[in-house]
Amino acid sequence: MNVKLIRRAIAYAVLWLLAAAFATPFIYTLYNSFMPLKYANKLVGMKEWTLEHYATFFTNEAYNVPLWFWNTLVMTGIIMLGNWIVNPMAAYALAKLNFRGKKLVLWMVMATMMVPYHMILIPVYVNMAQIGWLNTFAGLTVPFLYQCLYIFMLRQFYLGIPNELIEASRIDGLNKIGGFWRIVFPLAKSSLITMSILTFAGTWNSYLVPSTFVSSPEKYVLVVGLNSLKDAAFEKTSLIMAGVVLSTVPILLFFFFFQKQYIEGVSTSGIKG
Amino acid sequence: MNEYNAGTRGIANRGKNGQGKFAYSRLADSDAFVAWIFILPFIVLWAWWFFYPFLQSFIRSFQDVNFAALDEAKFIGFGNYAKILQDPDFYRALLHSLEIVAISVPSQAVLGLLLAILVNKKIAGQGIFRTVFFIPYIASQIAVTTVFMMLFKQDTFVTRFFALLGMKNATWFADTDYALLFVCMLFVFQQVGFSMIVYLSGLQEIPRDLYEAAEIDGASKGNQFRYITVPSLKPVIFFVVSVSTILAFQIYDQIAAISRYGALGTPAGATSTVVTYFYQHGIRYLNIGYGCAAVVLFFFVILAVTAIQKKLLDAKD
Amino acid sequence: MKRLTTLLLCVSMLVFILAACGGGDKKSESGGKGEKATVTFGFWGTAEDLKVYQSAADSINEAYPNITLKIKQYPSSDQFWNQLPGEIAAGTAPDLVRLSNEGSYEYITKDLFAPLDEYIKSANLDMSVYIDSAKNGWQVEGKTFGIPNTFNTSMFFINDEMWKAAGLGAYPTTWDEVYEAAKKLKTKDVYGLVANIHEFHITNYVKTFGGGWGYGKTINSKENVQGLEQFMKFYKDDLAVTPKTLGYGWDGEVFANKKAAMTTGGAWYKSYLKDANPDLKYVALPVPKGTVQAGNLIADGYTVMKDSKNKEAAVKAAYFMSGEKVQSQFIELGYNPPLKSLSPKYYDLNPEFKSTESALANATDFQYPSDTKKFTDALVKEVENAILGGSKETAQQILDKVQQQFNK
Repeated sequence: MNVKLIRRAIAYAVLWLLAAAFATPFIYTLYNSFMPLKYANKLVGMKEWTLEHYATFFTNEAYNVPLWFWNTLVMTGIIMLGNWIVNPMAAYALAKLNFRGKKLVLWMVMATMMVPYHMILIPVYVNMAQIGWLNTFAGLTVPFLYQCLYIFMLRQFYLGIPNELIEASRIDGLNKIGGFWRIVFPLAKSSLITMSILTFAGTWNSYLVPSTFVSSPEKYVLVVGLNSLKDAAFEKTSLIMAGVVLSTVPILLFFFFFQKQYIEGVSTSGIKG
Repeated sequence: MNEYNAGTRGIANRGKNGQGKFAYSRLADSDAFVAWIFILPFIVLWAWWFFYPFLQSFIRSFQDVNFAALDEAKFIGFGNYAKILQDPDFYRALLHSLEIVAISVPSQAVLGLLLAILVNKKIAGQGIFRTVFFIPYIASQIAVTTVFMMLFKQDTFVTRFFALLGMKNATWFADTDYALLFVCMLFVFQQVGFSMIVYLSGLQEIPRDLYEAAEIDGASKGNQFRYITVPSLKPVIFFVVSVSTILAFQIYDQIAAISRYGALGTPAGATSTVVTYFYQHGIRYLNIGYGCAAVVLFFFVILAVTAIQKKLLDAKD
Repeated sequence: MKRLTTLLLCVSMLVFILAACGGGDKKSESGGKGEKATVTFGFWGTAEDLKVYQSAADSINEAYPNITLKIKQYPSSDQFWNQLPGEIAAGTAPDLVRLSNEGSYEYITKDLFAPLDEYIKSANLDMSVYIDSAKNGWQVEGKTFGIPNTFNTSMFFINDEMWKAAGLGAYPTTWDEVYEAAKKLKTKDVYGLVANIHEFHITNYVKTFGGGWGYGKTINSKENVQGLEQFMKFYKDDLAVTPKTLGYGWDGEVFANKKAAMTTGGAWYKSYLKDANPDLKYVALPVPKGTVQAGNLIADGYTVMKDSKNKEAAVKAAYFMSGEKVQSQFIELGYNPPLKSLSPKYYDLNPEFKSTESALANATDFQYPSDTKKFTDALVKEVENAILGGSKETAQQILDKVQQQFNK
């Protein structure tokens, strides 16, 4: 019994050590965000901490944090909704249906991921300007209602769902569309959770796209707004860190509550003999 | 899957729907029809917001074009490609990209799986551990890079530890021998949370009764891992490996972060990759056509690597 | 896989046909001069700067009733340059931007900006209000490409506490004296000098030996080699350090954190040190001599985009932003205005820079080749390779190698 206890203790020690290593960047950020600028990037204890960096974001008229927060929320919400609809449907077709051109579509999905977005940013910008979508939520969201990464991911998960299950549902009178909504969609729940977490984090944190397609401060999202003013020669580290904390905490909370949805071994193969 | 497709047609025909709905139910049960309906939203968005812009950039790769005068582009055929293929800097960048993939992809795939298995167990503080391991993936680039840079300076406990293993006690990101390795470590540290979360959801979807049956048969934990966990995760493993390969090929933010005040690919080009090469030539030097050509070449490299991985790892479908 | 190849082939063919036909992005020109003009000013910088420009936008009508000034904010200069190609193609680029002469030559020679002489004339602007050296940086091939904004010169900074503690007397005026002082200032934790491997700092060194890049013609001149040798000598004898080696981003951070006693820098050190280390006692001096007194002229100016539809209004707006009303706000923020009427006040407000006033008269433009970024990337890479990568190349070999790439 003792041996087991010791092994457990060691396992926990390792886990905590790892956790400490992984948490360091965030703790460091948090710490720096409370330090006066003269102590930036120095470890001097908490004797002289300050809220001035956070205060700057809420008092300086160049910043409009509540509005930017709202913009981010709207952008993230629309994109997540789109991804919930578009990705699973495409993934289901690619995993469980037979049709001409399936391989081609699958490779299209893969190939899209292989092109660095920087390369197409300029033409996307021009197209967007032509239809007048710059500085609009439409421009910020519509091009990103699908994500090849997640289509591919969901497809891989759907592959793991036994065909027998779908077949069984057909005997119960469900057609292929019904089979998807009633069987595949709910069964692969954890992959949807993963997609939600990743989409949320990716969208909430995105910088390149919103900073390119939006130039008016009323339409800024949080990450762009907090980084909108910088000195040419140097950066005010503590101020940046405070901005990082402000924009990261919502993702952490989102993750913490969503990860509870992973409940081990929910699914059964359904073919228990 | 074809035979099951044919075999089930009849079921729909005998469906309980009335006469009027007959056509619909027939269609709703045809693989091809349903598939294209399901793929349509994706295709429409993709064609307009990816393929069309991509085609425009692709055209640019055959042009000599300065961004100040996009109208005055000159068609030069494979001129840009020929020039790139003669540039030793391109090969160096390509080599670096391949090195990054070779180092970071296996580490990320294995470490991610280990973490996922750890936090999938019923342990005290499970939610906290999951969140903490995910933090580097969502924390800002600046924060993670700054911390890493503080740790990998000369004479810190980290570099001293590596010095014991026979490496130089040097500032890693300022050393031409270690800078690329530094970038890889930074990248793995940030991306491992992604692999973990994907594996974690993969583990949820392994039917529990498989393990129960194995337990009854007296299979050891090791054998359960080998004969149940790994084969069931195969599609997910392929996903993690291929996606992390693609992402590692496209690594940019980490390199830009360590070159914040200097030339991209610092020190002395030791961390240049094909993406930084594109950035330098296409955007910094205003030579968009040339930059696009580099990316097109690069695209085929990634495609080839992914195709090989698919052959080796993907489940048959 | 086979089908994919076929598809790609088809697409390539199609593209070839399209490209060969020369289908370009045609932009619709909206002609005609309206009475009222809106000038968009592309801006990136600090919150304080933004405030000044916003008040300028509010008050521009007092001087020019027909001009509306709109400020378009960019998070950073990188962001601006990355975005500009798209904006030019889409016709959403700003009319006016504030630039530093450090990179402007490349864009001027690549036809991004409009020459302004004709508009200055038609708007009847009096250019004699500006100090010559502030103006000169914006003359290229006899044409005016910018309305001058603030300007200054590079400086040499010394941590005065360390200097005094080491028992050193008069401040150095030559690199030899700096070298001797660096030996005395160097301790276990402190380097004598921080010498950032960055074109700005290297250029300072070569200029003080009478050298200069000559827009790419004189990269490997004898004087430049001497300057670079001096730069590298500090490293060879372990008296200098790069910010990167210590884990910092730039030289000012090293200086503020007291890891080095001396550095080349500029007026921006003041506002940075005020925040980063308010207790630090420092002196600002002219850049030490090699053989001559010299330094970089750092000049901001307002340039007008070539495609702007309101060039004359843009020039007027720039003139307004360079005028007394706006500049008297900038002088409070620590910038040296380009105006003959205001500039003398600068040294009253910034007495610590008084000693560099004479150096400003000798300061000259950067004179990078027109492929500026390509040049600075190549230069930095080679010097990094020698200092951080141990390539063993001499200053002569480095500059010869760089020169080779710029022989046209």
